[in-house]
Amino acid sequence: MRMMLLALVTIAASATLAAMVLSTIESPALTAFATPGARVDAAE
Amino acid sequence: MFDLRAALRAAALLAMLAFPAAGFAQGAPNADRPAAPVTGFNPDKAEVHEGEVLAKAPLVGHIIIPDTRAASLIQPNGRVWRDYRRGPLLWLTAACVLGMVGLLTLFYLLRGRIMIEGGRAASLIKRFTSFERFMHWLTAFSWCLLALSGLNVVAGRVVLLPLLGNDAFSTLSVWLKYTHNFVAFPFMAGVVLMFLVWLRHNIPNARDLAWFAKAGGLLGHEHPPAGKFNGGQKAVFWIVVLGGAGLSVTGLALLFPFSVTDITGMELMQVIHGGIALLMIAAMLGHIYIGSVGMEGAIDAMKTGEVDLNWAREHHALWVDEVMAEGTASVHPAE
Repeated sequence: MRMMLLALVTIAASATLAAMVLSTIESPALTAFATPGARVDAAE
Repeated sequence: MFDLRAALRAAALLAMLAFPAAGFAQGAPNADRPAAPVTGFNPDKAEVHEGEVLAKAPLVGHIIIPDTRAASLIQPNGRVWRDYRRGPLLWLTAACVLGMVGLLTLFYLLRGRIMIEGGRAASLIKRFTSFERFMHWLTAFSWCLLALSGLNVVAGRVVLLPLLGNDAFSTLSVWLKYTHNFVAFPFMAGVVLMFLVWLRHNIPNARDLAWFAKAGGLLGHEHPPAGKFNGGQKAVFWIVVLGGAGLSVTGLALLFPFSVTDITGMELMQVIHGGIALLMIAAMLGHIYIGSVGMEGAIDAMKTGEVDLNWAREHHALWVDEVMAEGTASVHPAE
């Protein structure tokens, strides 16, 4: 059970780290939802 | 009298009539515009079909901004891809997810839970180390998040949007999109770790064929002898490793658009990415079933790392014999 918790914590930490690193790279796929109107596009 | 003004006006008028392009001097950047190919094809004919127009007419314009991709006004391949996404892909998704759940339910009703034939022993044997369980759950949990967020991309608009409404579905999709993008990295790390740690136990051999010939004992009560991993588990290992590699390559290509391929290539990448993911979802549903409710004692291997000795002898007899002979078996009484 402890390994499950450790895995979950690791996933959260590494995903956050990946987000921080990749936020320095300009990529349309990573910033698509930061574009005005994109939220509407996603729903429609 | 010679009217100089009238003469100049006449000359200017003649020049404009003789050189009409000069009247559009502001369009100078178009001067080097390539001429449209002369194909004898007339897209204005009433009986022309749209598909024929899209196939033959020039769809790329001329631009002077740095991003040359913006010159592509219409991308006919995108329609094929969109139609696939809105039609066949939804049916394939339903077949893989709901079909597999249905098959597993039917199997459970017919076969029931696979019990330990000899009953639980008084002893437990160590099967997986803490690190092995950590990398398993690292891959498993991240896979579940990726599968759910990926299914939302494919079927969310059909399944969730009518239930949640535009605002809630939009907010959910934004967060699932970020989840899919960034949880991909711990998943890739987990696949690499499992490949390195478990490869030597997952080399296929002749015993696996015998295991498959008897369906691994799933249909009867005879359990074919197996090493640390039986034929079915080896199949799961290679599905995860090869499927994970395929998902990683295609996923990274989509995560960084146009860095690897063009728009048509990315559409192909998405089709491959979705296809591999659906096959893996079906396989992992089977893996989750047999590792939990489908078989008594199986979940203990990844929960505590220790399994019932009788369970180990029934499903992994060769592995038990091996670690007993080596003296590396860690056996202790069950509490």
